[in-house]
Amino acid sequence: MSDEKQISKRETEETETLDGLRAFAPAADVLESADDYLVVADMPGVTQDAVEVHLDKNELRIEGRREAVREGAEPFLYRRAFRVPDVIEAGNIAAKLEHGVLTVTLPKAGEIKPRKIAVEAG
Amino acid sequence: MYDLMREMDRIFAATGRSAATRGDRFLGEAWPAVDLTDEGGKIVVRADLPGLTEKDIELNATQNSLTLAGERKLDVPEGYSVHRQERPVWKFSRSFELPCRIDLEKVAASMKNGVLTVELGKHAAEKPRQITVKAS
Repeated sequence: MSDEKQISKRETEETETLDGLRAFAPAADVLESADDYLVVADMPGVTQDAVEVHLDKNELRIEGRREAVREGAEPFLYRRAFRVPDVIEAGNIAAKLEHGVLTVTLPKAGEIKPRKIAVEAG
Repeated sequence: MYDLMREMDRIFAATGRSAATRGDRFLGEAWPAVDLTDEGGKIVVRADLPGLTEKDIELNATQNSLTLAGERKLDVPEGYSVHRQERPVWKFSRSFELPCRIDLEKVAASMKNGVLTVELGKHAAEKPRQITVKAS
């Protein structure tokens, strides 16, 4: 598991929760730069206080509760988990929710960042 | 009498689902999910438009139709490569025939947390009226 170099998708079948809420996997993008990974997920209708981001060992879990869209509708969860590489600096993960889009930034630990090696003239 | 339920079924059949049940089974849609409901005195249209703000949306209403147009560009930030891209790029214009006449003076739209809500007040002649049944 720890030899994975990229964020990979785990099972995302629709699951049910114990409190009876239905959960759906939101559409997500994963991007990588030299410094970090970005996980970007569409969670329309979710407010700041209803979103949770957890990193447990190598699993990043994102969850957002969407309240009933209208009277008579059920609330539901956007939920998804990703396996992440070992190289993440767990203490520096940042998340923001903007216009119904969740962006999680997972910084890479210093020692594994690619470094540019200057070639000196001999 | 207009059959509202049938009209809603037609709209939902066209989109394949309601806005509230969007999951990863529906990735890559060219259109955002839209709900249209009759709430007594008004018709309410709701659309899931994550990442868009009011500036990205154009709305036009007539007495019996609503057109919703917008665009979502997803530019990859400088220095990033893409491992997975499920979130769809949108450039859409959808028109909805409304199930009854509306009062154009009573149309309000708001955008919150990536969800657009358009409330279209019904034309006075279309509002449901309660009829008291008198004992004879």
